[in-house]
Amino acid sequence: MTVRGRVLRVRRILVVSAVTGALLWGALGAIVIVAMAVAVDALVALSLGTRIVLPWIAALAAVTTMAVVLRRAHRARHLDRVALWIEERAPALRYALVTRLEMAVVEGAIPPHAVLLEQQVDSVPFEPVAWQAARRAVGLPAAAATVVTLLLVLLPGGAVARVAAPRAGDAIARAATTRNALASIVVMVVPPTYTGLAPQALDDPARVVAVVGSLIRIEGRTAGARVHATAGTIPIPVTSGNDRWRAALGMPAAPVVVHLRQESRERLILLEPGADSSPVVTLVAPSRDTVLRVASGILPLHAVFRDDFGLADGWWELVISSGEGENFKFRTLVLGHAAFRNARRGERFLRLRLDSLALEPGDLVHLRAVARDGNSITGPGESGSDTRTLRIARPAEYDSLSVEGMPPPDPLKGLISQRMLILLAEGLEKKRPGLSRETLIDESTLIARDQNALRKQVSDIIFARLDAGSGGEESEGEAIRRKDLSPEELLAAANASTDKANTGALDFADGESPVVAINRPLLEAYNAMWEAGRSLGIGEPRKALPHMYAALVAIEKARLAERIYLRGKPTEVIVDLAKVRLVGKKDGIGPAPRLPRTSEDGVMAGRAARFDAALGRLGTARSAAVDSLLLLRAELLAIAPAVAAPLGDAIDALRAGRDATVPLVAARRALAGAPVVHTGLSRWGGAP
Amino acid sequence: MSAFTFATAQYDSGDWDSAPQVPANVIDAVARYTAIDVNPSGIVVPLASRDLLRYPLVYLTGHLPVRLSSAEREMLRTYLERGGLLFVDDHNHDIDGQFHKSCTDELARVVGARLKEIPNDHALYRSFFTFPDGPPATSHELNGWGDNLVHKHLMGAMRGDRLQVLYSNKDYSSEWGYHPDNKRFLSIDNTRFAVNIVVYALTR
Repeated sequence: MTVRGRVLRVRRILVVSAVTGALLWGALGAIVIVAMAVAVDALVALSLGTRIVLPWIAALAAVTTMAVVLRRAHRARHLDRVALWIEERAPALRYALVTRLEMAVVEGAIPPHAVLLEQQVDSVPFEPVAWQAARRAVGLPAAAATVVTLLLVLLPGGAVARVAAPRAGDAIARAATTRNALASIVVMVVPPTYTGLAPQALDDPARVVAVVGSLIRIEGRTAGARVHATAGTIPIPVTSGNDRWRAALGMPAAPVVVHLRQESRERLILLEPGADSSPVVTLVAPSRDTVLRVASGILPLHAVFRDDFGLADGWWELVISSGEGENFKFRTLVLGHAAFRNARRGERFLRLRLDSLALEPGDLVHLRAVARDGNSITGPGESGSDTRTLRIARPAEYDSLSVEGMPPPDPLKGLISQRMLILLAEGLEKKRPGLSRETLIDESTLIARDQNALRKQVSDIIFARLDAGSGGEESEGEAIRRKDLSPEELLAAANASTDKANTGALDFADGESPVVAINRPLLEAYNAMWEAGRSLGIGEPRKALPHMYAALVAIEKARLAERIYLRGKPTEVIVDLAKVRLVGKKDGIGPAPRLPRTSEDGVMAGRAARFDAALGRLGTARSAAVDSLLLLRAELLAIAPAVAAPLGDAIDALRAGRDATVPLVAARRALAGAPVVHTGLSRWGGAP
Repeated sequence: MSAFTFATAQYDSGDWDSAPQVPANVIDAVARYTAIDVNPSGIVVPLASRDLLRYPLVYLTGHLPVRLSSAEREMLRTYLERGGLLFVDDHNHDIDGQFHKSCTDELARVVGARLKEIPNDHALYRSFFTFPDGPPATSHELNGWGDNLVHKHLMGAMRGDRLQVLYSNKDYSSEWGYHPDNKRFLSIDNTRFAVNIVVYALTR
């Protein structure tokens, strides 16, 4: 072998040993970091986040170490440096090796004196020096890495895995340091299949939020006495095996606190059921209710369906009601059934032929889209969209529309308005002192004649209304009774009723009818005009004027009172409270005075007191305080979510050792409720 | 303090005004048996209106399917959250009827759960008069109208320990649908249970 070949071989040995050594040093660095983390984790549980970062830190340390080691070996790239390194460790060469290599490089041919140099180099075996250096470079890190690896192997596998391959739910993999089986627990949540959600593992949770019906598996390390578990008051079976105890239950529909007990120790876990929302269905078309004159043509339907986990199917639902009053018949139709195959969103269109529904005038079609989700545990949840109503008009109702075919009739020119009559009467009263009795009576009688003509016009309107019906609801008995009466008798009845207008509510002998109610202002005007005409007829305009004013007010009221009630006007009955309470109508006599009731929200005040007591224990018994807050949250979840939400945040913060001031303050404020000023009795009235 | 006003819910679908005599009859009963300061006439309040929040008790009835609009549903939910009591009576007296099906469906959407039977020893039956057997039967039930059933229980939805929705299939709307002056012909006033509902709404 030539000199150059020998040096090249040495260089190869050095490079290989340097790279191997760098790899071993790098591995050693990583293993040491992992080992240190395992040791620390055994004493103080490292958080999942920290443990997830650790392998990356170890890898970085390995790479850095390798880089540093390799940097030291970079000189082996140059052959002359390798030769010098050999000369340094083999003085017998007397620089013959370096000289020979330089000659070869400079001259490119072997000069005569090179033979001598080669003989000198050949006489010195310098390869063992390289092997020795290689053993040193590899041996030390290899031995150290082996020792540390052996140490790791001797540790519990779970403890190393917590650092090397961290995952949620490996809390109980830590080496047990006490006989407390509740010191570290893991809750595995397996959601129902229909949700399509992945199982989830939680380390040492204070509360577990999961869909109703999820499998909740609580697991801990067996240590010391047996563990007992109850959900509320219901016992949960606890099994043991493979150094673990396990308890499993389904997520209930209502919040429940799971009590885990071992001897005198207790640990609480709040199970909070998460709702599976019903589908949300939006009816896009038709966009509004409609009245159809003829039930024919095509109605386009369009709906959008959504669900939080997945839709099972959807369809259109039509309820057709026929009839009126108290007699209705219903038909229910289901159209366009479609399967969504667990999609979270769906859209459906349908063209509905109205002729196929065989609708009759007066029929009502209630139309909506309905969807069902795939909830196989508590469902399926079913929801409908807003309902659109299609009504088929009755032939008779065309005439009832307020469209006047003819212009209004000309006002009667021969009549003087009530306001004008009042002006005339006031003028007559003003000049009365200067008039003789005869003149006064003549002029007053003229006004009385006009007043009576106006009164007759009012009575004609009332008669017309009475004959045509009120347009409101009218009992059968009343219709028969009205047929039996002549218009004069009806008017007399009306007169009798309105005579009481100044003293109390209008009232017929057998109850006020809608016919009278709707004509009441005109009847009042009629009566007032009657009185006014009578006073004017005997030359007493001063006595007539109050009645004339009343008539004017009543006419104005009648003018304003015109209303159209498309649904029919319900009978309005005004209860005579004084009569019912048998206290008469005399002023100053009323129901006994009442006292304000006391504050009734003692329950919430009690909860606030419990909250305060838990806060008081935070300094001395933090775990007990958190458990108290947990129980309070379980109680409030359903009835006071505004309090439960910040309370949950506070519990999480306290469990994680973070500052919980902000959520605790929010919870306390929510618990106290909005400030209320009590200035007297409650606004909604109260019990006696 | 304002006097108690009996409010009837007006909703866009169906015939909300099918029992116009009931408000006056309930008011009459409240005035007759209690010292509650009560307005002599009831009021009609649209279900989607914020005015709904002014009344502690709202009465809803009808024969036709009840389909609430989004606005009505939201306002009703707000009303119930703020402590109101919704009293619903099925004027069809028919658990197979469209009013029952659609209305219970809508109420389930509003309160988030199906209505449940109220036990017959509930505080509602002792809030003023005592009804040891639960809700009083109506003549419509006893005469075999509607679904031909005598319903043993009322239904409802609770918010905490308080009723937020009271639902009846007993057709009190027909039972109480007469002029209050005609109470004098009854040996036992059949509107006494209405007093319990009003007192419960005002005190719980």
